[in-house]
Amino acid sequence: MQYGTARLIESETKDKKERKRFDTSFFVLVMLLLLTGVIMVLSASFARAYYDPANVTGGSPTYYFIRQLAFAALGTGAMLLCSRMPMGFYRRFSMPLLIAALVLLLLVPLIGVDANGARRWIGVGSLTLQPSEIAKLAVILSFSVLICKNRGKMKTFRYGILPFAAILLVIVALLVLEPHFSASIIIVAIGGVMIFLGGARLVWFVAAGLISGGAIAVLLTMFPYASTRIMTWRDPFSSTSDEGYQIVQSLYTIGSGGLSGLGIGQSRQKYLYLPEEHNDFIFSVVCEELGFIGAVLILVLFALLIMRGYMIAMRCPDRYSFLVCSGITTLLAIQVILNVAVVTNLVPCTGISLPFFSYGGTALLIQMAEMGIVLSASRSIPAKI
Amino acid sequence: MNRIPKDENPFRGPNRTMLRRTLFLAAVCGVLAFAVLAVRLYVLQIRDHELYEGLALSQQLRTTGTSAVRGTIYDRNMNVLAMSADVENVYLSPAEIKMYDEDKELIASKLSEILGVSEEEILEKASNTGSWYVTVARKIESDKADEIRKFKEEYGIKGVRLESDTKRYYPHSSLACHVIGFVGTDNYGLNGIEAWYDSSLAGTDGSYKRATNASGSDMLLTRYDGYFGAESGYDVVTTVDTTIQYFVEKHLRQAIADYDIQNGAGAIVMEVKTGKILAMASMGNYDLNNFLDVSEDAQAIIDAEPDEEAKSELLYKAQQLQWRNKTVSDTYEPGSTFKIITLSMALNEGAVSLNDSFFCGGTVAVQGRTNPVRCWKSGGHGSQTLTQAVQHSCNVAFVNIGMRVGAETFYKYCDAFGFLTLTGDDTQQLTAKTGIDIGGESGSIWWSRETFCSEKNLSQLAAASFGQTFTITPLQLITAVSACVNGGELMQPYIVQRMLDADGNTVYNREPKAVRRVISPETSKTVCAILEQVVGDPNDGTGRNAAVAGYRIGGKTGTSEKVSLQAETGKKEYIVSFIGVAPADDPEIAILVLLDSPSNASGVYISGGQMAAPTVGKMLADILPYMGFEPDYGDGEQSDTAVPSLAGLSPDEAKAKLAEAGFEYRLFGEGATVTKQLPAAGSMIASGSTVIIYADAEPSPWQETMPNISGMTYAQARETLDAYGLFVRTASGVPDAEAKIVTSQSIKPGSKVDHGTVITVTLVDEDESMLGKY
Repeated sequence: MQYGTARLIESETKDKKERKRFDTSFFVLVMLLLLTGVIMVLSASFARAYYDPANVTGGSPTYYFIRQLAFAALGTGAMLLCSRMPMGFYRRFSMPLLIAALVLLLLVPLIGVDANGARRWIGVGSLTLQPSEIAKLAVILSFSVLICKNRGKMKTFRYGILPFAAILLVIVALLVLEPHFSASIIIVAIGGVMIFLGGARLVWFVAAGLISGGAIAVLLTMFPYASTRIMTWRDPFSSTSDEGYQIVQSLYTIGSGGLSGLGIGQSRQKYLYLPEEHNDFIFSVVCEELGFIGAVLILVLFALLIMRGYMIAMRCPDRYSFLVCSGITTLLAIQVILNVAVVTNLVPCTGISLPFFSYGGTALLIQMAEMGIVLSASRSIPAKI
Repeated sequence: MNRIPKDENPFRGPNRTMLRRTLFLAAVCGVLAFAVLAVRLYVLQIRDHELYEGLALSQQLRTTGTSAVRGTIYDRNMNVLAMSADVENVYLSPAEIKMYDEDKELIASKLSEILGVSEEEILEKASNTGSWYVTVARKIESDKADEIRKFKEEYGIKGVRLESDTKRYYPHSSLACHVIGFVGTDNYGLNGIEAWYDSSLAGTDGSYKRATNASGSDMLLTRYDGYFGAESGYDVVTTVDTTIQYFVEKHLRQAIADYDIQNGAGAIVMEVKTGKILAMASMGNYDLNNFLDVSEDAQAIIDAEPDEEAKSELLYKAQQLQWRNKTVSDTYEPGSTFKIITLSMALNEGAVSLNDSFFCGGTVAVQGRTNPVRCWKSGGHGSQTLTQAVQHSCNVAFVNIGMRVGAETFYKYCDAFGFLTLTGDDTQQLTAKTGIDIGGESGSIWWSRETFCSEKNLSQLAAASFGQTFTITPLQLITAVSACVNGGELMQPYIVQRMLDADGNTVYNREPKAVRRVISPETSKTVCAILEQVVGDPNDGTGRNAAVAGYRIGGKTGTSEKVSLQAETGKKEYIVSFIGVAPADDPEIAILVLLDSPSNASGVYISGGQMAAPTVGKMLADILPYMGFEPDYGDGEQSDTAVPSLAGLSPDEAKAKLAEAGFEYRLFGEGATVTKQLPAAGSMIASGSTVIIYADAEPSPWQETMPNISGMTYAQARETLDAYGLFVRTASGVPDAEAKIVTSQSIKPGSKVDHGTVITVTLVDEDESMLGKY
């Protein structure tokens, strides 16, 4: 690492001299999505905040909005701050971050906060944090470091698979304790993508695919809880479970929108029919209010952001930046795609939030920081390209 | 950059594998997945949009009904028969009582006080906190609703709610109840015009669709445009005349009391030239405002029944019975009244003429019958003209008339008169209805053509000639008889003349509808002339008890045995009836009265001529003057006279004035002028009665005990009552009353009566020729 450290200092000084600007397109797309997202939180959360069936807001209709707005502002600050940090900074702190994430995950079962039968949050006062969010970023950053370190040996099992699989196994084991199924999926997926980008043999992915396919089949037969979910997914209208109700209401909401939607603020399903309407199911309200046209426009914005993220990654002059950018972009893509797939009942229901839209302060903060890291990487791209 | 070896340089960019794999990821995560999501959104939002929107709306919208104003029912002079008034329903919203933490005990005690509903019941309803709607009281009037509003305001109660509703009022209670009908609690017409014209009367309920949140309150800021205003129902103007209906019901009720009628009675008044129903009554009747309550007699029987189930069964039966409109729902064998039909077809076919003579030896043999047909008069009527045969209601003569018409022709005329509808199938029993616009009409029952027209067996034809062995409704009979006397056209009977919208515009006006011509106008005239002889001839007419002084009345009696009942139970019961037409020279109205099962207890001879005929006479005596027909009295025809006013005259002048009017007198007191008279000036009393005059004297304050005058002649009754200082008059201005017999009196024997009271009596002719089942 000494060698790298020496180079890093050099590159930092060089950075300071050149002071390249970050990628404006990426920044604009993020800000557009963030702005739309905050407005949608206002619209979607309005009714629940006003009626306050769970006694949270005290009847203030802008309760969620004000908080989301504050976090959006903080997040923008965090993004700008992160964009100014040199990539070497992240590289240096990649492994410590992983260790910190593991410690936090360990703490969750001990000092975590219960919600809906699971313990996923830790926090001080009203500020709460999902360690799984940090774990996602930590996996991307640490895997990038490891891949760089193991360059040339990535095709072997010992260097290309084993260390990564071990880290993932520990994290998943800790997440299962919470339990937090959706975070496990995302972390395994993003870890897999990192290994894939790092150059591991494709045969391992085929093997992993077969093994996980078999494991899912076994799990489905062993745990009735899981198979009920599959049934609910295949026919939500006949299901009496909470997920069934959620997904049916989500379909009503999306379907009600039609081509051009009911107009912003005019959602009817948000009046306590649709659960989690400002949270995991906020995209349903987007569909209802903005219609097919609006929903597709927002998906296009996401797609553009993702494509831009990959473009930045591929132009990165160094491998670490490339891996981090690709990883963060893929993480964003996975969350967006899974969230929309869940609310439209393309995949079985599981709790995945929609980046920039779903209500949630610390998650938004971390997402914005991740965007800042991509922006930071974009500054190392030679201007002419 | 070249200073560092290729594979060892961490600042070297991604290798080609990495870039290729990134491109793959970009294709999958940036394009392909989003394309799939867009297609999915297309399916949900565009292709299946209506399905999901409909499902979503069905849970979001709450519909509140606003009920349409039900139309008013009028009689032909625009008197209100049925009307709706705004009332309110009171309901609790226990969920809100809980939500706002309202005092259940206070609500229960206050509502109980205002509405008279038990406190425990309200408390129990209020405790059902999962509900938003529990009815406490229905159809309360505005004063009580205002009290509840005041209570709500005073205590700021939200869990007690009021909603508007309408209630049906029937100002005439039981009058024409079977015609008008009633509505159930949901304002749905259940009987009579209310049922038949329900869709016109009801209008269209409005609705207000609200978008609500999942717990039922209105959505904020979000509007859903879904108000549909209520459209008032049409007002219905009937052909019924409440005054005529009143006269009919009064005399029908009297007949039931006088003749101890066991099984109810029915009457129809029809305008013969149009088929309009002027009155239609069925007894026993019921109060439309409390249509579930049965008569006291029926209730007593129900109360005596110990078993709860049997009790409710009895109540159900009693209700069904009282709601049944006998005149359209019950079929019967019309008996001799049907002879009008036989007569009409025979005259129209030229099978008989006024010059024909018919011999009655008491019986006539009929081919296919083991026993000969007997005439009601055992010795026979001897030789008679056609008119006399009708006057006598001679069965033997009518069997012969039927034979002359022939079965085929008879059957065809029955079809033409609307008693049956011919079909191609000769083996089928036939039926028909008039198609009147009121619910519950039954169809007649006739022999199949094969049976009726059998050449080997003429017994069906023979019996049908005098109105037996088939059953029809009273309405069918009066409709057919109207055709016989109105010039020959069968009119479709109807009861609703017009319908008006909320602004009073006529939206429907019924024109009288001639179904077909049945007999020629000449035949009709002859029939009228003969029928007038049945009532008008004081020597031969079996219908003479229906005569009204000053009017030309036609008619025909009927006394039919309830044959099938006798076959079942062995009880001998009769339906006595009379159908009258007036004025006989150019009939305007027909009246049919039938009394089902009179009992021997009344002491009056059971026959249409002795019971139904005087009833019709009394009805006509009221109806004809009301309808504007002026009486035209012959010499001495009038049996009653109005008492002149004697006030202020000297006793001598008074005596002279009374003598001139045909009255005797009795004078009390010594004064110079008449200070008082009994009965009061203008009272109609029997001519020749003794009027009491007082000159400076007062009538005795003592009351008299009413003597029994039934069975006396009119003259005897008058003399008897003179001694008591009481007076007598006829109910129908019966002509030539002196020798006729009193069969009922308006004041029961043994009652206390004041001096000067005028007792109304029913008179019949009781000579030998009038006693029989004709």
